[in-house]
Amino acid sequence: MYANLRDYENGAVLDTDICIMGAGAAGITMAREFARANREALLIESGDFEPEEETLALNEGKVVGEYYPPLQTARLRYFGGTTNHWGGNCRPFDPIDFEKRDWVPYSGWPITRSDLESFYIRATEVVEVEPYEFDAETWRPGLKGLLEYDRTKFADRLWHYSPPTRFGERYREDLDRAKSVRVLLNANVVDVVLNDAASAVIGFKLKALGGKEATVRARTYVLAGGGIENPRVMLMSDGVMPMGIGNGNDLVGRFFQEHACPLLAYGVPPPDLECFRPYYQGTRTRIDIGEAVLRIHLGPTEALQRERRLRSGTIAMGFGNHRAKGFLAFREARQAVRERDLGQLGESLLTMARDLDGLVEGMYFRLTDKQAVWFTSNVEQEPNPLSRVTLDRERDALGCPQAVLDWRLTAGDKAAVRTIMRLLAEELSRSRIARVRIDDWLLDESLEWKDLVGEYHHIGTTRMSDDPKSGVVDRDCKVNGIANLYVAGSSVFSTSGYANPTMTIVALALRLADHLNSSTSLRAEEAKAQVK
Amino acid sequence: MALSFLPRRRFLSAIAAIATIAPVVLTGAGWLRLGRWLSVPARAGLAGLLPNPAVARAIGLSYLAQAPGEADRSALTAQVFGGAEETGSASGIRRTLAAKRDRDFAEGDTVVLDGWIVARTEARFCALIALS
Repeated sequence: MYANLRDYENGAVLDTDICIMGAGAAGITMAREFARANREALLIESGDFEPEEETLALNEGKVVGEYYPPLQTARLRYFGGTTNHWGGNCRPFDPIDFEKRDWVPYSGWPITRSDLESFYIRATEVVEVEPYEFDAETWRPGLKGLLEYDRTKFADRLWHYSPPTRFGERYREDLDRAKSVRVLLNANVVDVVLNDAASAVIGFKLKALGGKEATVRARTYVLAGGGIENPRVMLMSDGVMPMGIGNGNDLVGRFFQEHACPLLAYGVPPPDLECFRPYYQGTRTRIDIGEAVLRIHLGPTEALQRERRLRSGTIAMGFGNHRAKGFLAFREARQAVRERDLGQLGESLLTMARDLDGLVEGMYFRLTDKQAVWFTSNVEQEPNPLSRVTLDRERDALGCPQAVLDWRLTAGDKAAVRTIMRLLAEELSRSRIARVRIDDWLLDESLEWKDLVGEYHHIGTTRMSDDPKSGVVDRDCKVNGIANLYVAGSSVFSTSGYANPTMTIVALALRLADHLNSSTSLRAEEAKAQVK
Repeated sequence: MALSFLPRRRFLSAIAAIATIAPVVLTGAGWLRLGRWLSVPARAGLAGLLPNPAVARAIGLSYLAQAPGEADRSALTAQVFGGAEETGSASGIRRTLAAKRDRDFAEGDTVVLDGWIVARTEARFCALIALS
């Protein structure tokens, strides 16, 4: 059932069992599980079914540190959340991603891959990538072959492509039919209210653009607003804890991680392009267990990671014309001329002027029809407490502090990418698959990251740990010190791994939903204390 | 150190022209006629570095600039061809070079020349050409 806060009486009080902030991948997944269990739940969404400019603007914030796109571009604020521009890439984290590794500071989750296995299997239905089979060798009969190289060093890391599932569209009807779950649109959480002892949440204060206010009283609360919004809401809810909720150890917002995926290298393509196809584009494949659209990246094996103290990561390959910024801008400029978009044309001309070298090389490739294979990375970032989300003095239209993103990368992050790329280049050369040229910026430690691009993966800002001194939530995703507040989404990840986070977000959401469905939460009488 | 556009183009051309392996003939010293002997290993193999003597020399000079102490033809010859079954037959030389090249890549004994990851044997071979 859907409702709109704008239609409520000002000052309304909504009572429920479980209240979830955020109708993205995590929030909608949990709401569906509560509906199945006939558990009463209220799912709160800031936006409406379609994007509205004023609501999207609530995602504005400041970016300091490494280059990052505007925060209102990287996140979407309407029903379905950021799944509305999700690329559909699905892969579970590897077992080693959950392990404590002495060569990766702050590594180690309080749970293992085995703890999530059954939830990953269920997640494949949610993100529509069944069957659950991520071993490339199993899919070999359906492919024209796999690259032959030393598999003691590197491995085929398989991704499944979701359609992609736009959670808002795909599950809208499910939630409309759900008898025990209500969805409240155009409702923003502006305060998480604690009891005087700071031991439990006694309410969410809501506000709509236009001024309507309301309060939610629940037994259990879940923050599922994403890796930037979750810490923002916790930090700004400072009525009882001045440093913010769950922030007694100054960890909320810290350890922000992304997947940097700049262009690393070019190479001469392999002679057998058909065999190479699943490595550079999604390839529809059918075998006896089912059909899937697959793509393969190459990553160091666990054995090589342990032997060489490597981070978890993969290198993705692409095939086609040059990807330099200057040349891509040339293509955008042509499109802008066709569409008479002067604004885009101006931007493109500026980018071309800034990267003439790339423009000329790209033209050379195009004119001589020399297609290259290019390489980008997905390597886990070192969890870094200085990389963080904080609050700005600037306020949004609801009067709430905006977020400030200070994304930090270390020299170790760049070295990790360089090492993996070089090892792969050597193996590709040895195997006569491709000859590789690594870009100067990656080889030279003194040069900055070039064309740094993130993947809109906002990870680690309310990280999971068994020790409250190193984590915001415990292994059940409950905020340390708060009896009835949980967090869902990639903000709870302890490390970033290399795989896109959506499948793990959904798996963790399923796990949390099961936990809440089976556990006894704070008694209603204790939770429904007087709200200011 | 950022390299200029032109040398990068040359190396790229050298690596990229794997479909058309031109004969590389070393004259003067009368050593080797490499030519089409080297075209049979896989397209991305050593032959891919040697589409023409000028480029091979450029690669060799680039290597020697990094490793000036190796600018000795006798020592380079021993390093590149030492242990070969036969030094006079094309197939023997090819097998030796290919095996050494593969071992270099497997063991990480590679050098970076203008960004290209090159097996040390390949680089030394080109250095020999540069010194000829």
